[in-house]
Amino acid sequence: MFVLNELQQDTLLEIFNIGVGKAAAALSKMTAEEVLLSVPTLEFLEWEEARQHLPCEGKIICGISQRFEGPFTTEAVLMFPEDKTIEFIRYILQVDSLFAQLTEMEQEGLCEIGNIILNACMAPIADIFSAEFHATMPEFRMGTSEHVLSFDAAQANRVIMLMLVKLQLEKRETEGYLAFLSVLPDMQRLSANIDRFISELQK
Amino acid sequence: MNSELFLAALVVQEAQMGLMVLDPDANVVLFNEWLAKAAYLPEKEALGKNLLQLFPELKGTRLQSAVETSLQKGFPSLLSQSLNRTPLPLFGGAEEYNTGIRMEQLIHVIPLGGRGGQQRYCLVQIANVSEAVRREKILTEQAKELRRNLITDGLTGIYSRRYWEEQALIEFRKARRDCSPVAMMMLDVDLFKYFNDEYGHQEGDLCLQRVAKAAANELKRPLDILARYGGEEFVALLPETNLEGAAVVSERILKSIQNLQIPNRKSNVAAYVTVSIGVAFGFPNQGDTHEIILSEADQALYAAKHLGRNRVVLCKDGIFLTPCNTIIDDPMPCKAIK
Repeated sequence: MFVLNELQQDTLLEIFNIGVGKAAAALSKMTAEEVLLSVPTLEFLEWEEARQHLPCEGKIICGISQRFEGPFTTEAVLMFPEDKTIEFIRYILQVDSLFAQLTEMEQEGLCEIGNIILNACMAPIADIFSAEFHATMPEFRMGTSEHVLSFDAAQANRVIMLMLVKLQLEKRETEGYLAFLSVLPDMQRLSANIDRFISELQK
Repeated sequence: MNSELFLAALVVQEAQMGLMVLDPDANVVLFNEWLAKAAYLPEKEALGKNLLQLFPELKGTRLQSAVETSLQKGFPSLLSQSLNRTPLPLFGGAEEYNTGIRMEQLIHVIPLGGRGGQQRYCLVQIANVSEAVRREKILTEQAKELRRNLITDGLTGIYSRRYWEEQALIEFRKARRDCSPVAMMMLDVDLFKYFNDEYGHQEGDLCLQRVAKAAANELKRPLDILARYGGEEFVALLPETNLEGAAVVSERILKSIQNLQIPNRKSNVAAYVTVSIGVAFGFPNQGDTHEIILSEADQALYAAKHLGRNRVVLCKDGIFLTPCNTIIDDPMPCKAIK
């Protein structure tokens, strides 16, 4: 079972919070509303375990995913429950749509918000690795957690780093999850690089 | 290889979307024909220029930030039409160019190269989504129209209370963002019970239909909503309207109903059907909620009843006024029999 020690977890959370802080500033500017983003917790789950304890289990969720390849390869997926997401994106876009499902334009808007957050979370990881990453365009998916996280048997040796993401806009609040899906060696490399980062900070 | 490069160059020039490539310093190194045509900017004038030199309005925008992320971090970005609309000055044709109507854009910012020590460039790909946006707007309008048909009051044909409440939420949200005022009116047909008792319920229904129509005719803007709130009670929502504006409209409504001259033998107010109207307004961005403003309009309506009916009373900062700004001395009228 892959774990990070307390110092590593705190460091990683700190780094993510700096990253999402920048994403929140960008979203605030775009929407002319104060957007607050925070990543209060993270945990590690093995593939099969994650399958039993998927966030928003059984509910329909909206997900935006990007694959990042480099010294640490991961598929990053930002997930929100569908009903809250629809209300949220329509609030941001100032539309009073009557459709029960997201329209194409709304999906693209949500995709962009996910892209801003995912890029902001991965940028500090790229800095920790002092390395280059290649990333894919954000992709919108909707369905159960299993579908959105693209579970399949071939990926059985994966570890999921799962983070709770709190998104606040004016008086509205929604909670989502950010999942990083990687193979175990990549997570181990992440751990080693966090240690290197910590020791450099301590110099 | 040369023929492949030549073919690739042809693809770039013939592509039916904008393609612009920036070097590591964000200088334009490729500017395809589609883009040159849409920007009304010849390729040779764009090449070699910095992105911000070419389009100074991009400074500090999401697009500039996306280009920087792409060049510095190698991460791609999506700029949706819904959040960005028209970041670049691009036009669908001569008419749009002359009237300044930009095309709606979907932009992808894609890093190129950058691996193994290579220099990193950035591709800015722009698609014209104006037609898709237009179609979506039409569908939305049609859905709204269908819904409007479902949410009108069966007797009078004006909006139902349910629709009014939903729209009020939307208009208050808009008003909070725009820092604009919202006014509300509560209208009640005077002594309607006596009218019904005297003339019968069928005449009563006809009376309500005529009153509703006359009132609705005085709300000239598409934003304004009149709804049936209860039996003989109506409510109006006037976005972007202050008290003075609402007072003018309410006086017009009062007169138009008087002019219907619907006989009402049992009224001790006039020989015909009259209404009493309470008006209030507020600024949602300053904490005036829908409930507060409606409650003030309701209190103003009771004041109008208390003062003899067939009149408009305004509520401003907790004080009741007539439309010519005369303060009404009794600030807490008791609830009159309608």
